[in-house]
Amino acid sequence: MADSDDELFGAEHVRVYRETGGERGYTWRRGSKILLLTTTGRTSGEPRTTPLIHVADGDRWVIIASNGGAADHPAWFKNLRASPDATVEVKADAVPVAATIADGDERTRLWAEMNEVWPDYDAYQAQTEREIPVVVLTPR
Amino acid sequence: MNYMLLIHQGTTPQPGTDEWDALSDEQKGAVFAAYQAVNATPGFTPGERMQSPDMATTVRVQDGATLTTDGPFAEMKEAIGGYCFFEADDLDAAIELAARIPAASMGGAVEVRPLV
Repeated sequence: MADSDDELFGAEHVRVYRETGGERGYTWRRGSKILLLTTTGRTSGEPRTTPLIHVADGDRWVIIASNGGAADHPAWFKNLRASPDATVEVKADAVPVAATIADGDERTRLWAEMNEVWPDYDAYQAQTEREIPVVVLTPR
Repeated sequence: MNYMLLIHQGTTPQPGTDEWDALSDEQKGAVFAAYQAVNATPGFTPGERMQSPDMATTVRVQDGATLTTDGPFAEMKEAIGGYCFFEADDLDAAIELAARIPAASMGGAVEVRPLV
């Protein structure tokens, strides 16, 4: 089952994660841990859910707006800039959070931690001119 | 042997759609990396990039009259989303490459056709 769950993606990943309270879909490729982030669509106003690799930092969660190294920010990041209040689902728990963008020493520290979990972030950064945002989600 | 690979997108998420936005950033990175690896494979020749199948116009001639319909010849989800070429030693090698095209594992399929 572990191997096939590595292949989960997109809406199917979200569905399986929710149905199993993260029993399936929380642990993903290379042992990374997935949370579900639900933002409010900046044009639609509709809830938009994306599975994302994260690390926990105290009671906060850290995610990276890499968009896989694409030139533009991911939609969820643009949604957070328009409306920083969001919801995080970690396993079976849903937590309302507020998003902030890490900078300075904190960004450096968190970027390094995220790269330990998913070493491709440095490669993503090398492919794009923009500085890839490190986003901190704090319970509200 | 030279092969043509016809990429049927099926339900594969396409950039610029809600389905694409619902992919994790790391999944998108894996898709980009897979395409880069395929492109870098010796013997591989990419096709021109195609606009989405809903931009297609299908043309038929009946009794000397040209008839057009909007959309692809096949059903939308079975329409061709892209194509490429691969000079390979044998079919197995072409199949191995086809399997590394992201659409093959994300809701679509790749048809491998030997060229004459």
